[in-house]
Amino acid sequence: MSLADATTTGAPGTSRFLDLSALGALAHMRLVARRRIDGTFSGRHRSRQQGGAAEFADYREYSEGEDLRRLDWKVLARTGRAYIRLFQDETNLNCTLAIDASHSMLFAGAGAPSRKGGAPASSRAKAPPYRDGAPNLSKLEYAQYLATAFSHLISRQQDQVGLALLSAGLADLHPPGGRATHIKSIQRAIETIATQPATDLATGLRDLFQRLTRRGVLVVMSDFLVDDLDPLFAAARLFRHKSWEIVLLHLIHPDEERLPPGQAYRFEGMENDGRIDASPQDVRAMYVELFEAHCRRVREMALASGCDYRRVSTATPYLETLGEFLVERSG
Amino acid sequence: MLAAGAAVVLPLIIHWMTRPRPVRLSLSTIRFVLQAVQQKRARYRLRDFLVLFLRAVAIALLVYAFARPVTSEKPLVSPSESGEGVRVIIVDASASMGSVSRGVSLFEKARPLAAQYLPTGGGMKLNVILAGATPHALFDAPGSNSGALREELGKAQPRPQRLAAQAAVNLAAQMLAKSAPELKRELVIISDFQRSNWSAVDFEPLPKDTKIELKSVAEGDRPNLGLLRVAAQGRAEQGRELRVEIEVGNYSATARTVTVELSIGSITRQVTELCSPQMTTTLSASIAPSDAGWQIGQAKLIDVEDALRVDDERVFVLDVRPSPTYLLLTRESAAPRASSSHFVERALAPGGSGSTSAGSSETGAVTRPAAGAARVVRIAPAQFDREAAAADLIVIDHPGRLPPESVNLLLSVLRRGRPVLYIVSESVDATNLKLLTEAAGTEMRMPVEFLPPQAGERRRGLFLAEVTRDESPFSIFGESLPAVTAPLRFAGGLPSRGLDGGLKDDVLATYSDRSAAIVTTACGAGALGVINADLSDSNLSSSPAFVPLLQELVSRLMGNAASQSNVNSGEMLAVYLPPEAGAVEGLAIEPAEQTGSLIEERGMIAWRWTAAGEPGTYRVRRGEQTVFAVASAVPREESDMRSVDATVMQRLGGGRELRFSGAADEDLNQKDRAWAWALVACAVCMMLEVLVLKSFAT
Repeated sequence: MSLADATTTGAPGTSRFLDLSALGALAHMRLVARRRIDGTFSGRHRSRQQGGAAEFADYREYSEGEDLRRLDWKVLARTGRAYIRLFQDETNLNCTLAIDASHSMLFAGAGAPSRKGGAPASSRAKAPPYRDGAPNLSKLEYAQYLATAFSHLISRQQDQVGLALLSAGLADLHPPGGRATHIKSIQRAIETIATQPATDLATGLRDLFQRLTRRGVLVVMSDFLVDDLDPLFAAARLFRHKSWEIVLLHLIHPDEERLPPGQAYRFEGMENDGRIDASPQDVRAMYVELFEAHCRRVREMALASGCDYRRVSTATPYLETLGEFLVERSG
Repeated sequence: MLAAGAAVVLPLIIHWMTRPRPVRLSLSTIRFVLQAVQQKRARYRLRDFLVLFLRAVAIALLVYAFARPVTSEKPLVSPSESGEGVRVIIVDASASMGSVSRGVSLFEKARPLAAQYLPTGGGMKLNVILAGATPHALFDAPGSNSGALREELGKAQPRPQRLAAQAAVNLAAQMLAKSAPELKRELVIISDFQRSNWSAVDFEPLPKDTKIELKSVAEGDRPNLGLLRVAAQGRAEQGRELRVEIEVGNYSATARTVTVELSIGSITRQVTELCSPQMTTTLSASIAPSDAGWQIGQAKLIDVEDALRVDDERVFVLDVRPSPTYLLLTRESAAPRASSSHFVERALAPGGSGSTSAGSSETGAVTRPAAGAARVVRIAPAQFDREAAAADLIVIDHPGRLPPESVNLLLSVLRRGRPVLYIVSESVDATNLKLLTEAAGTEMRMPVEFLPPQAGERRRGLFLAEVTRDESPFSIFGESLPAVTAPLRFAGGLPSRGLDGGLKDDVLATYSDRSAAIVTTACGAGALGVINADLSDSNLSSSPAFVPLLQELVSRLMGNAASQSNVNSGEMLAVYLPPEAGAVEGLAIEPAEQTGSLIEERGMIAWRWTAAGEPGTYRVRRGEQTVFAVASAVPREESDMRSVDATVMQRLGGGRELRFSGAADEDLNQKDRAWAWALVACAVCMMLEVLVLKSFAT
């Protein structure tokens, strides 16, 4: 019996971000790697290894010194020319979920109470599974729902999933694993993320790059509100050089896009950025322009670095986001 | 005002209190807000400043509007106040006060206004001065009978006279100065304060402690057209075309097309011309009087609606004479040879047929000039007597030394309006002119003195260096004047030097050696002209310019007497009657009532009239024959209805307490709209504030 079959919403010991009944609609979908990957076990994903006797892939002219066991003798006998038979090995997927655990991820819009440092699961009431999107949901909570769902789906397709929490550096790491206890511990870690007042995604990614040895898929969930994007994408390019597949999920709250409605606000920075009194209607046009410029820059740098970029609004139900993401990748 | 000042702070407090209270919000993207705010900060400051400014102005205007009844200017002289003191009220009764606005004349507005300052009872001594050409006080001295003053004021009417403002102020000053020093002195002047009458008034004669209240009854611009002058150009002669000039003043903001109808006897002319705004325009009409003698004419504006009616018509008189008779006083022979007198004679009578010599200086036989028989009568200086002096113009050329009797006779005819033309060419002419000047005394002020030439000094090849091109006789040549005068070369004549007492403008032309060429000067009612050249040695006599130049000069000299025939209504007339008026016995002035008196002075008859009557004509008659006439008219100053500026009057006050206000200021509740405009401006400020906020919100 798989983990998904064993867990139900609200059941003791399960994450409050895990909504099995909702995830049932996505049961037939799989996270597919677009590139060849390194896996520990045999699986459904194309491996970087071309040896073995799995699925025939191609012929190649024989070069001296190659393994004669792969020589196609029949072709040699028939044509007099030596060809090597190539096979595509299939392996399982290593997916690491990297979540931005900075204070800025706690932003939940103007209607939500201000909070810093996150809240442990024990201190907060169990929230119903997030399905329809709500403006008061913080980006972190949205990421928690999304990451929990990812971990559940990946474990269901017999792949391995890991977790990395990024703030001032690499705050926590759960290397990829596939066992039920491992998944459970990851989901618990997701549920109890404690944010930090500083963001240094670049350092966190560099640390993560050093800690992970096997190539796979890295899913980064962040708002990418950093002072300098260049070091961040320099770190991302390290993964790409090692043939990692990187998916950047850019989480944006609706109030971040247009500023909340209202006459006057005293805006306070969430990561010791100072504060300022302003009327949203006075600065909205200029703000939107600046924010969109930032988003465009993140997207352009992501694509230039070979990353898969997806802009995710927290107003969109996470199941819809997840479904579209999986469909797009499977296609 | 302190409260008003404090109220200006109110908008600051309101601005602070109504500031939107900010809601605290932790924002992940504050960095973009900071950048946006930094970029917009300058704009915010401008908006806040504008809003603050508009609010402050709006509140200030509001305070002003509500404080208006308290802060408005108080009159210096309160009409209702009747304490101990002396109050003199000058009421302008000049012609301009008869101008009508909305069916009511200015004088009708001034009358009740003046009555307000005549309180009944109390210790105030009052008097009213009706100011015209001569001020007329209703009481000899200020008194307390305000009822009688009101009654007299009720009967008063504006007169077609100029306002002698200074005379009225001086009379008021005398009355106020006589009052006890401890009493308060008040002067109230009610007038339309025409610029032409008031701009030079001096309040210095008034006691220093006099409170001066100036009440203007003028209401804004009063466009007016007026006939300012009607006069013949030159001498009017029977059957000869005469140009009559009509000066029209257009005292309005726009140009007006004016039609003037001129009528004299059976002749009627209409002249139409466009008159520029705020200027005078001279129209002219040509007439040819058929009858000799004094003619009465009238000019009137056709189809004109303006403020002042009394100046839309103007009468004038013309002394139409038969063809002139010139008396040529010379020692030269009448024989037709190239002599100076011959040239003059031919120029004065170009036709030649009727201009023959009436006598011979050589034979001593004298033929008296007869009107209509001969135009130029040549006689020797020794034969010059009173009968000969009756000619229309006396021309003196090469006369030799004149005896004192002849000099006195010349002076006598000059005084009585007969012109004299002296052609100076010999040294003795300088002596003759000196004798004439000395005999005239202060009556004649020559601009130059002619001197005998130095021994061996030869005056030849002189040319005209300076001429008064805009005046007769040179104005007739117009643009061709330089071409006409350039070839002229003069010889003879006398050197001259300027005199301090004379008018420089009387020198009409100057030679290249700075000596005078042509000079005219007034003497009594007549005029003396001098041509400083020997015409026989100069090429002027052979020039085509000679005849017109001499004719123009003669016309100028003879036309000088015509100006005596006009007088301003209400002003003093003192004029000598022409010599043909004869003795004073048998002369009568028509109409007879209050038209002055005729008296004999120095062998002449003078008409003295302290104040000329209503506009119209006044004649001196001998039996049925009119020997002299004058036309009385409204003074031209009254036609200009523009009012003097209040600041000018304040300056003229010379440090005295003086307040200038309009009649409209009296009724604050009805006429003072300042508070209403303040409220309107306040509303505009509020709307502007909304606009500012809306424009900056984008």
